[in-house]
Amino acid sequence: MADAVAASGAALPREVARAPGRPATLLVGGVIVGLFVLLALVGPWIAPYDAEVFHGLAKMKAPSGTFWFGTDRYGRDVLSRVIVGARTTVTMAVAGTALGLLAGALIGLLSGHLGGVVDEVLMRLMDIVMSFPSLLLALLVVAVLGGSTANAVLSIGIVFTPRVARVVRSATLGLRGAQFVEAAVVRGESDVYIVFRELLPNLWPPIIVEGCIRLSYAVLLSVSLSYLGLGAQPPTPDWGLTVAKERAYLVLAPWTVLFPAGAIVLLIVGVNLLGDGLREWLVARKTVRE
Amino acid sequence: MSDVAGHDVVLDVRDLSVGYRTRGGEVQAVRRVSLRVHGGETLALVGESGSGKTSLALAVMRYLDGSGRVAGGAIRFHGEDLLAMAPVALRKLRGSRLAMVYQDPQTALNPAFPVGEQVAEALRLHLGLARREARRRTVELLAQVNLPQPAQLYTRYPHELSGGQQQRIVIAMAFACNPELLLMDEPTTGLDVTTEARILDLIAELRTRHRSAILYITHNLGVVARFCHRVAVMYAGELVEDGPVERVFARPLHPYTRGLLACVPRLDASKRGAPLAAIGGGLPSLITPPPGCIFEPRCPERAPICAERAPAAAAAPGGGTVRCHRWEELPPFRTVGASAGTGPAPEARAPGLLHVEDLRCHYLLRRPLADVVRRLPPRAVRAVDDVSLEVARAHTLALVGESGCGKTTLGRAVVGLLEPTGGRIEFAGADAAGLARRRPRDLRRRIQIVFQNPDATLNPQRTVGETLARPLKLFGLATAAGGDERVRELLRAVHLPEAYAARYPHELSGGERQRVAIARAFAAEPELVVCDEPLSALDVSVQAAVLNLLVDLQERSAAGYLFISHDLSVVRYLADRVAVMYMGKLCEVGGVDALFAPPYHPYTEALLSAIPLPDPGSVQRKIRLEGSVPSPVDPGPGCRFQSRCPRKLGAVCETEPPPVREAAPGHVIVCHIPLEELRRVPPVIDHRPAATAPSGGP
Amino acid sequence: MGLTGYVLRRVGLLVVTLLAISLLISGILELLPGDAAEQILGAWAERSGQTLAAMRVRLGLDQPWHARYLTWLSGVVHGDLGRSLALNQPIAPLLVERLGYSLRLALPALAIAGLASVVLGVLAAARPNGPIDHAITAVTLTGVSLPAFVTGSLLILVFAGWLRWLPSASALLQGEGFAFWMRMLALPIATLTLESLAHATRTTRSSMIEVLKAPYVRTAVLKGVPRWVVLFKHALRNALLPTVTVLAFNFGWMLGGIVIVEQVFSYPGLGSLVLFAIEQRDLPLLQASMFFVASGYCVANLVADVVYALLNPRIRYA
Repeated sequence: MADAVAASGAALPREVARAPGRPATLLVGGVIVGLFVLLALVGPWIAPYDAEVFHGLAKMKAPSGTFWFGTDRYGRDVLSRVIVGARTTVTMAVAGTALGLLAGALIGLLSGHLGGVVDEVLMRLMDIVMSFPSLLLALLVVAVLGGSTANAVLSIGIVFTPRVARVVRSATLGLRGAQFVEAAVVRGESDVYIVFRELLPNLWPPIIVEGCIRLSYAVLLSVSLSYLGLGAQPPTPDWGLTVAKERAYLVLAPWTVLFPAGAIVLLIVGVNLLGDGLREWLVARKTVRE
Repeated sequence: MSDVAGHDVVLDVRDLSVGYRTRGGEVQAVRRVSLRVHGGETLALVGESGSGKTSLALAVMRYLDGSGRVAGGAIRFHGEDLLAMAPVALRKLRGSRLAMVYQDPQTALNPAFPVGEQVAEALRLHLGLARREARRRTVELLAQVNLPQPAQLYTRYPHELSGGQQQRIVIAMAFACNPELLLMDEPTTGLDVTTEARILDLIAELRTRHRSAILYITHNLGVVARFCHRVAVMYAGELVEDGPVERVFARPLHPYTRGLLACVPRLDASKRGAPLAAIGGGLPSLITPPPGCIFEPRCPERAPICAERAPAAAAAPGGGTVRCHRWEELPPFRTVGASAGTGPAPEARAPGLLHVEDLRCHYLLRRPLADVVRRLPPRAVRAVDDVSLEVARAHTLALVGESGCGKTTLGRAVVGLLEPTGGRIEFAGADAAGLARRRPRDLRRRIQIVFQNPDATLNPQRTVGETLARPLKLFGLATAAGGDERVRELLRAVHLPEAYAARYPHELSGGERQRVAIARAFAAEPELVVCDEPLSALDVSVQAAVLNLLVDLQERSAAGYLFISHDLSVVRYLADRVAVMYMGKLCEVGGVDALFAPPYHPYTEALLSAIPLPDPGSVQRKIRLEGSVPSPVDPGPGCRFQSRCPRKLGAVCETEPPPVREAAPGHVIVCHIPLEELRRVPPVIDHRPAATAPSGGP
Repeated sequence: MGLTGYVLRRVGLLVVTLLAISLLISGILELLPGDAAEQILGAWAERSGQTLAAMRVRLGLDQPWHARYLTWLSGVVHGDLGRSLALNQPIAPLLVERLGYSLRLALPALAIAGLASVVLGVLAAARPNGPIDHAITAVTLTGVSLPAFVTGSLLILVFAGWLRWLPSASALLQGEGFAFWMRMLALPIATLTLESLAHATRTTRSSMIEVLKAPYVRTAVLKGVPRWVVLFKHALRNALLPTVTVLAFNFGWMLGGIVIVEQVFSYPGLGSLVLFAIEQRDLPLLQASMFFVASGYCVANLVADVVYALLNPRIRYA
């Protein structure tokens, strides 16, 4: 419907106001992330060599035709280790994010909708947890529970929960004043109905966008924890762990460090692009929907 | 309106076209528009949303956003070509010879700087004044725009000022360097009626003093009639008619202009007369405009030629131009019957449906630290203070007042969105006070609400059909199978196609969404519908259609309306009885005819004198209120209105609460002034019958 | 009264928050699974040549949890943060010393990142989707995608490994003089700076873009204000507000990042102390250093809030 309104603020007719962003960002991000998810799922089966096997005669060899990414000091194929290593990082990051999103969204929804004492108490609690820098809190949790993949996931979830809760809470509060929600209140709809049937369907966009942002931090966190030896444990070919272990050979055999590091960077870049693209796409959709 | 002396052309727009790039194609927001503004005159640019008026103004200021561009034509300012001007020259021009006043003063002012600084900046920039001199001049300017204590106000921040005060700052900034041309984009929309009247007075005074020309953009025909010399009407990017205000209002020639004038409710017409003439249909696509006349699809007077060729501009008798194939053949224009069909005033009321008695809604404010230490009790905002009123079946009680008067709070209390602090709300004999959730289900069904903002009133994730089906299901009004049929019935009742049931809100226009909201309210088969400013966010032509719809539905369902509004013309049309509120208290309650004639409460009198009337021929007494609405925190014991009342008697108004006096059966005025004195007050508005040929100037 | 009241409220909130944090840390440490606690206790008892029972008393484990907490809290108030098990010295002076080292990394990094991010963010936002913006966006995107240890490793590879300009580790801290310190600190500071710079620039850029869309920017332009004055005076003043918040957040992120950076460069700061405490399972040290770092973050947030209030007339002149 051509409702061309020249709004004085944005100086653009409504139907024009959000010329949709370049879908390239979304596409490229999606492809990269998809690739890594694929590796996480089927990595061990498509790797050219077994990640643990020592090739005695080919230690510390530079990249070549046989070993595309070279070998490390034990003669293990770096390419295979990178491929198999995708699994731990992706799993840790995704699981940690999912945990944080679930807990955070629940708390944010409850807090935003119920308001009052519940809101105050929950938000104070969230504030206290947030007054720790992320990595430090994760370290604290892992210090107590011991370093492992599972504990890393838990710590990531704990770190993310208050941040997600804040975002969801403010989105909920924004919706609460919306007149279709008030119309539901006037009808006497129950809280459960309002939260799940009126609010939640409108909250997906901010939750998804926040989820992507969280995912990129999750990858950073899980990789950092593994680097410090507090996440994935040897002999898993986790990327962070590998970079830590091979540090001494950085100058002698840089490929042992650079390829896992490169994989980390590529994954994070992909997640960031995906997040940016999703945000643009959702904003464009939402505004057109006005 | 004084005769316009200037003949020099300040702004000359020729065949201007403005377009915006979008993924679907180029939106032609303005198509070959030509207009001129002469020295010292005020040209109104009138149109609804989508007319392109704002795009035109932005093009003149050369402030089109990235995707917008001037697709053709020329803009000359005192002969200089604005489109070809270099950025440096443009900068020197803006703010000094060519200035702009904006719609929302709150956001137009920078929140981080004191207001005086923002005005002084213009002076330093263009007049090269030194700091101290600029400050001195700014204080002078602030006094000129009637701001109190200008020297102290200089250092205040925007958020510390009221809306009216902020707008005065913006106006001071615009007039600071003696501009030759001002562009004003809806400067009074969003302000209260009484504030608006004073701002208009101010602009009139300043334009005379500075001899500025003004291009005044608005959709409000009343403001055009009061304030402007000439008017240009735009529709869907094209200029359809222009000419002197008197001529255009008395003898509109283009069917769109006629339609606009016909659908504005007059202060002398009511629903008991004819329904408002609405303009059906919607805007055409601006990406591929139709080849013929742009208005043809909606024009009641269309002929085959209209779809084939675009009409050329013809000179109109009495001044101006018109672009229509058939203008000469159309019958003379008549306003909707003044007082036509004044049926029996419904004083003989049906038994009351809703009784509100001594209702109070008070909020406690958070105590500042100092008060807690001093053990002072928290202060209370008395949003609604001891208000009693009644709504009867099939009748409409309008609740009128400006911002902060408590009318919305009252409406929300009636509907159950908030809990009153005291008093009673009774519906059909049963107690109805309290939150909706706690009311019995049947009661909830019988009281419904229609909100103001069509953009937020429907859940964007639900189809229209789902939205309408929910109340049916919730209140057990239809079986699963019958529900579909009932939804279709509802859509028909609000004049929407049945196919809309599958659509999402974003696929509907604002007016259509509001109709769905009305359908949703009526789906519950209510007996009382609270309408909270349902028309304010709609275009004029759409308002008329929705207003007709509300009247129609009331007749068919016999529901009562509690109609909350600040727009007295709409109230005049729709209401049977009116209650006027100020700062939480009632000032006057009475039948609609009685309210619009003396005796008046002084506040009602001021309100009536402030409304801009779309009728240049009528005479309106001028009463202006000083200052702004005081804060409703801990008001004094006397009359709430006393601090601004032009008829204040004296100390008694401050110390004693005013008595409730009955001026006539069913008409109550709450004031200390004796009724005999109030009866002697002349009427505020004197309507001359809508003549076809006015005898010259106003 | 507006500003003073605000600051007082904030300080009060800070105290409460610090209490809550200390409770949280204590609480988490209590969560140590029973047998692990026994293990640790046993290991320490052996190392220090004391009996298990004596160890228990020393760590206060013979008392109920809240008594233990209150003892620790009163110690904190008096400036006594306990004794490190692993290093067998009082913790408080150790923390202060290590803090000094860490600040030598963090403060320059914060200052450079703060300033540079504002300039870059403004430049990028001045012409969105222009060539400068694309370049800055690409660089910052890479910046946020590089974990600190990757950046650090790369810098070591290039500057210490290939070019041999700078040392790779700061473990051998022998030497005096400004030049010496510069060589020691250049790479760690660079690593820390790059990570924060990327985040902060992105935020400044997006808040600047939002601000530039604001109606009051249009007012300034249409008043005839020159473009660069609009950018740096009218717009930036309002865009600084979220930037202050982001810098505070960045500081927090840096506190985490510093642990990694100190690990990469073997730098004896607060971060490596925390790691040390974790590895050694030195509970008193862990409790004290965690609390110390978290408090630092809270204070930084308080400062940021106060600066925000100073800059925002709505709060200052409420």
